[in-house]
Amino acid sequence: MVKRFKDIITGIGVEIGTIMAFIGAVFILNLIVMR
Amino acid sequence: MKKGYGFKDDLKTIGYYTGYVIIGTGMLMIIPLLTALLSAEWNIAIDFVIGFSIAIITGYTFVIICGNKRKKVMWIHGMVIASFSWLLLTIISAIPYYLSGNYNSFLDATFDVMSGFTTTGLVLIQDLDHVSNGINMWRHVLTFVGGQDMVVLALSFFSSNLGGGFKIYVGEAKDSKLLPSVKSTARAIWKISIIYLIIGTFILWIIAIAIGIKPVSAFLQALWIYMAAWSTGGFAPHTQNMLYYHSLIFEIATIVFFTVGSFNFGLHYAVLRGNKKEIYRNIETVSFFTTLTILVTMTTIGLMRYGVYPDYMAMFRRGFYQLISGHTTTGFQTIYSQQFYTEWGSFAVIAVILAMLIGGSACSTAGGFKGLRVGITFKALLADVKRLFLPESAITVDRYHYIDDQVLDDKTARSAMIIIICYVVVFTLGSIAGVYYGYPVLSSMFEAASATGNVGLSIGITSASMPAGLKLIYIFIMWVGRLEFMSVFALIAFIFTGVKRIWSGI
Repeated sequence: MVKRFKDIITGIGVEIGTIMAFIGAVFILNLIVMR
Repeated sequence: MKKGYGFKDDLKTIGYYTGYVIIGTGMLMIIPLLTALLSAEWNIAIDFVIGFSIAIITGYTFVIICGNKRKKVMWIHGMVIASFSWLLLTIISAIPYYLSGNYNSFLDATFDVMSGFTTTGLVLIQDLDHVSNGINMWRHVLTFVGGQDMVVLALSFFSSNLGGGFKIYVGEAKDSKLLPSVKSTARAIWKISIIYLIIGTFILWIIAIAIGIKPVSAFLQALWIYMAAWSTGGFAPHTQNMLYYHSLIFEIATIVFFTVGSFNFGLHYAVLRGNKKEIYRNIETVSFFTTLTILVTMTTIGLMRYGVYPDYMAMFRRGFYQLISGHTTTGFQTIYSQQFYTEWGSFAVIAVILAMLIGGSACSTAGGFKGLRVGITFKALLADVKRLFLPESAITVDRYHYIDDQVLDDKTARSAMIIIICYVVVFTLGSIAGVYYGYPVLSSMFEAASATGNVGLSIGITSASMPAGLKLIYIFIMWVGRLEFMSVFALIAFIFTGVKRIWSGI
């Protein structure tokens, strides 16, 4: 049960973290293109 | 059709399950009814009591009349139940909308229901900023439920005998079974959605309070916007959509939630069960991030040519936001619709049109022809080119990763391409319809892509004053786009076959 809960929280963290990292990367790409 | 299975038996099987779907969706009206009662909106509460009563009476009438003993669901039944239920539910769910007085006509009310169910987000509602809490709750519940699969959900919870459920599930354009049975798959999908609903609503609630909205109103707005984000629906309780909030953190939070919402439920299930690497290996996420990067670059270059957003942050909050909102088929906007036409220029608008057509993931809440099919088609093309460099006698096996390693055979590639072609054909017909009604070519293409891909971004065509014929065409293309054609084709074929069988006395 604890492991299951941990997996869910980690999984949500991975999904949100990946998207946040991608948004950051796109922002940097925007900077490069605009220069 | 199976020998000895008459047309009446087919009708009864379809009617029996459709009845349960209507009852299940009718039950959902209790949520906006309670919201209206708690908000002391008595007239709206009466509208929902009327809508609820009609749904329950209609549903039970179907079940009683069609409650025969032969309820084995065949493929044609599953497909027809899915497409027919969507049409019937659209009409029944529009009753409270119409009675509320927020719509000019019943057609406008059905347009908004279809837009909600299909998670499109195009709206014809009048005076949105002063709409009651009850109606706003119904709008967002419809889009939330439409995104997860209302037919299978209703049958999972209200019918104890769900024989052939997978056939209905496929009819709703979802084909990834997370668990061995459809019932457990539907429940797993709902568990994932509810976990995210709680987390997402809480985060948006805190942000809404922080930007100065009163706690109760902040909670309702957070809940509605979260529902619209997760289901990639794009509805909002304000005419200005996301522009109303003028908040960077709110925009980033919505980007995260609608992007997560556009991911495959199979991917969520794998990642939430500990398979974290799946998100980096899955063909759909790889395809999504690749096409998004290309299209963002196109949008930025297009907007730079006209000097629309001179600083980085404005480019990110306007250019990137609309693009990712279109690519995930959400439809949240941080600019006014007319700005696409008057400020953006053709190149950036074409990038958004492409993004809307490609869409999100298969077996998700998103529309479009999906990253999975783009990935498969690209891999198939690459494999064919590679084969040119190999000896003729060489035997190659191509693979792609989608939850597990899958073999890329001709059948898979052909299925993917057929759906893409169907989308392109419907998009073209929708564009031609817009031009026929007198709108500019690019605007017609934009709105047709938005309706076909179930997106909700608007360039300004969709409004209560647009021609009734165009409203009907958009309702049709939202419906076929969401169900991915096959079940609608099955319904049309079933009607023609039925007429033929009645004519020949079978």
